[in-house]
Amino acid sequence: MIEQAYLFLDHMFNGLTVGSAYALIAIGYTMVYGIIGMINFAHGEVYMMSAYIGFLVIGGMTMLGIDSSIILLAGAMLVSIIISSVYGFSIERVAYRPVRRQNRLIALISAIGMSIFLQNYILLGQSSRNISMQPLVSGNWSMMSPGGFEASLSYMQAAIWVVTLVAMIGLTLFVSRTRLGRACRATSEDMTMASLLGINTNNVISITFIIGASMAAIAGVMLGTYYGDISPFMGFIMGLKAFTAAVLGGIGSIPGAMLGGIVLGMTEAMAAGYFSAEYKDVVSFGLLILVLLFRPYGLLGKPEVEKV
Amino acid sequence: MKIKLSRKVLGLAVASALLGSAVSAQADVKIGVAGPFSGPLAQFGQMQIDGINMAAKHLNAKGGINGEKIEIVQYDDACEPKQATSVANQAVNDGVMFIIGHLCSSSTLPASDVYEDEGVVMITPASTNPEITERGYEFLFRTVGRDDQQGPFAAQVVANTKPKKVAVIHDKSAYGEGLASQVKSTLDSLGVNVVLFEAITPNEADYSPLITKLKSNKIDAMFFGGYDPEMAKIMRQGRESGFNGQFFGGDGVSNSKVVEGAGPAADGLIATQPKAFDGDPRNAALVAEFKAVGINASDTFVLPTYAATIALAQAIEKAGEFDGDAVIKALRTGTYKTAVGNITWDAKGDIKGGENTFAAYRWSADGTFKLVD
Repeated sequence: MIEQAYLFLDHMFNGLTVGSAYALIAIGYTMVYGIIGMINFAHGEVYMMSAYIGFLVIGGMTMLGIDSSIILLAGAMLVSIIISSVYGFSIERVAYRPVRRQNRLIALISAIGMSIFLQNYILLGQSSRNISMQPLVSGNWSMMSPGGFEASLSYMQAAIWVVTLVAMIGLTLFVSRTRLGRACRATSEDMTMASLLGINTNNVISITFIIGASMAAIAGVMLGTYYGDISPFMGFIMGLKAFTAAVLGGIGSIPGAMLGGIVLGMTEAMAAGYFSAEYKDVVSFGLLILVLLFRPYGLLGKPEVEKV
Repeated sequence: MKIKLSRKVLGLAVASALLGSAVSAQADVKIGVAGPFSGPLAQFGQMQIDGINMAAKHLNAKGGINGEKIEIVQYDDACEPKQATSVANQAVNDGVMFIIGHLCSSSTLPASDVYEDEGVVMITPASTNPEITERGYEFLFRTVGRDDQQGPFAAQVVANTKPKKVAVIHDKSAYGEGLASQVKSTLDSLGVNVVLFEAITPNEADYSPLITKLKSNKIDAMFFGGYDPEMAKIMRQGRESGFNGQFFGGDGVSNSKVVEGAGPAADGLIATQPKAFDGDPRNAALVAEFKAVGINASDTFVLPTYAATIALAQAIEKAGEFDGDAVIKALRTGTYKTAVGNITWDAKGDIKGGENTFAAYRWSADGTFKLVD
């Protein structure tokens, strides 16, 4: 029994780490959907690009002779957040704003086009090969069970949790306490009304994309350095998983995206741990179908009222 | 009158000579090299390119094959079966008669269907899945052994370390799963306790659930059938979360990229691969020549690709023509002296004595490897 508890703990650590990343990326999907009702399929690519930016910054700083891993990580994250925000902002201006008032399908196609463009942009600029990097921070805390099983939590995993937690708290405070956050909520509720009341909705939409991209940048830099391997194709599957997390938690709801990400990550880790790694996607997508069957609006989503 | 005629004849002769040389210059013999030149396994493709370019340089310096210069054409399959079929068709359309490749077994299997139908001679320097040569194809050869030879060999290497509990993991690819099941069945018959036989999904970032499983089953040796990107991640995440067992792998993981990806965690990895011939004194000049252009000839598939190209050239010269049927007949008869030893092919297209072509190497964190006795 006690052995099982240690084992569960280890699986939980794994799940929380992946789940944190899903949650961070899912926020980008859910906020954009909440405000303009479209799915930003290029969001996974922003995550991928931010990982590349992080690698380049770390490489550059190492060449300048900086070797403190905390400074490297913080520097990479800062630069990556700034550049990714610029990308997020430009993506909206170039690909979504011109088609916002059109049929929703047009924005969707535009998003897919943007995603393909960004992937190829990195392919051309950074070659099609995977880039790997030595671990910045290594080592772990471990707890030995009486039966000799070692449940361990690596420093990097813990760092991912802490950074995610801080980002989440910051975002929640921003949305609930600041003027701009209130404007975001108002725009999400009724864009026409909000603009009639003097809110610059275009700015609010830009802010949404910037926040989404910053969250993706945090995930990109943290996971990129943790796993030490990035490729131009990494954004696709991560984007898909994060989108699933957003839907699971209730798309449009920020706490929902956080919860959805953690639930999805935990489910995957448990499925891979207790059944087989081959079937973890089967279990997690099975869970998605189940949740959607009984709560079509997701775990924390609000049921959509048909407006007449 | 007489003079006029001879002038005409002379003119014609000159014209035809010019025309003739123009035609033969255009009719350079094209040799295709097919493999992953993009994507996560592109480092293997680079080894093929390095090997074949050197071979082409040497052959062209000697005046080409049967007096024809060699032109190398690259076909990128990214180790994806679908793309392999489409580049195979493209090669056929380009009029390529000879292919060195493909690299991944999962690409070689579908691509060889196309080549067999079209009579394109194919020599793979790397694909080890047994199934490849079991289908009775005539135009297909390989310069490596098979996984039903590598598997038992690798299993013996694992068994020699006297592990108590072994995990055999694979990536569901034709190569990885094939090799892993060979290793598992041999380990079973050797009486080694295999407690975990499982697949992972390639190209994922996170393999920590697998690591937890390895730890909870108290595994002290893990064999991985697959390629280096996954092996690197498993080793790195394993060492990070306190898994201390010995890692083993096949030729798919045995290259310096695995150390690049895993860092210090790669130290001590034992991998089987085709015997390295870069230490052979007969290859010293060749290895030095590779080194002069910045290529490490000890990379797994550089010399095998070089050797496959040279053997192909020798067979074409022996056949005396570029006809596919004549060339495969030549390949099946006689012994070919190459950089990876003397090669004789059997009727299936496998090399004779394939069971002796594998060796085990231990990798260090600095990216070098040593033969395991």
